[in-house]
Amino acid sequence: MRTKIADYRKEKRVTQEELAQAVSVTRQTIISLENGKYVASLPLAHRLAKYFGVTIEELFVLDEEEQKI
Amino acid sequence: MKLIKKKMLYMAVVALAGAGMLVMGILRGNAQMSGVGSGMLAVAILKLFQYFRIMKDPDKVRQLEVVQNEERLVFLANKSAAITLYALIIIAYIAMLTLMFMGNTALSSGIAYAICAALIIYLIVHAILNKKY
Repeated sequence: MRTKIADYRKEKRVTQEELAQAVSVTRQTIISLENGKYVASLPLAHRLAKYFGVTIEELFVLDEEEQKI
Repeated sequence: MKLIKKKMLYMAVVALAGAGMLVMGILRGNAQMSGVGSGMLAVAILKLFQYFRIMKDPDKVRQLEVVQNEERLVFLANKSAAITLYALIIIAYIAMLTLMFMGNTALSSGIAYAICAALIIYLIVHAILNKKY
């Protein structure tokens, strides 16, 4: 699973801390999400997508292997 | 605010239990009991002071609530608990075998029963959660 959180965050010019506060998580979680070390739950994915004004599919992209399943 | 009040209530119970153990330990002349009691009391009082300070600052209350309910931290806590339980069962199993070979059958049996109890609890909890989710 790849995420475009970092791209959208930079586009919106918000810091990791600001984004973390907006979606009620810690900055470490944003870092882990951006690095692909942690996969967000559906409620968090929903909050992030809503914050950036995009769909969940636009924010989280499945890998080729995951798409085959 | 609800979360911090819940934590304060929990710490008040710990403080009371600690105070009770301390008094019992002093009355019975049991140093171990009074030691554990005073430790519990000291930690509970310190935590209560900390929560009183946090309560005065709404930003810190919000921060605490985020940290307590944060999904990644909950995930880490659950995963750590699962790995710890797995390691504990392996350690207990090794201890049971070692004690059995050393001839300490009473202690070895005790550990074996504890392992069996833990595995039965695991199966019951798994079955309940399987129905629930």
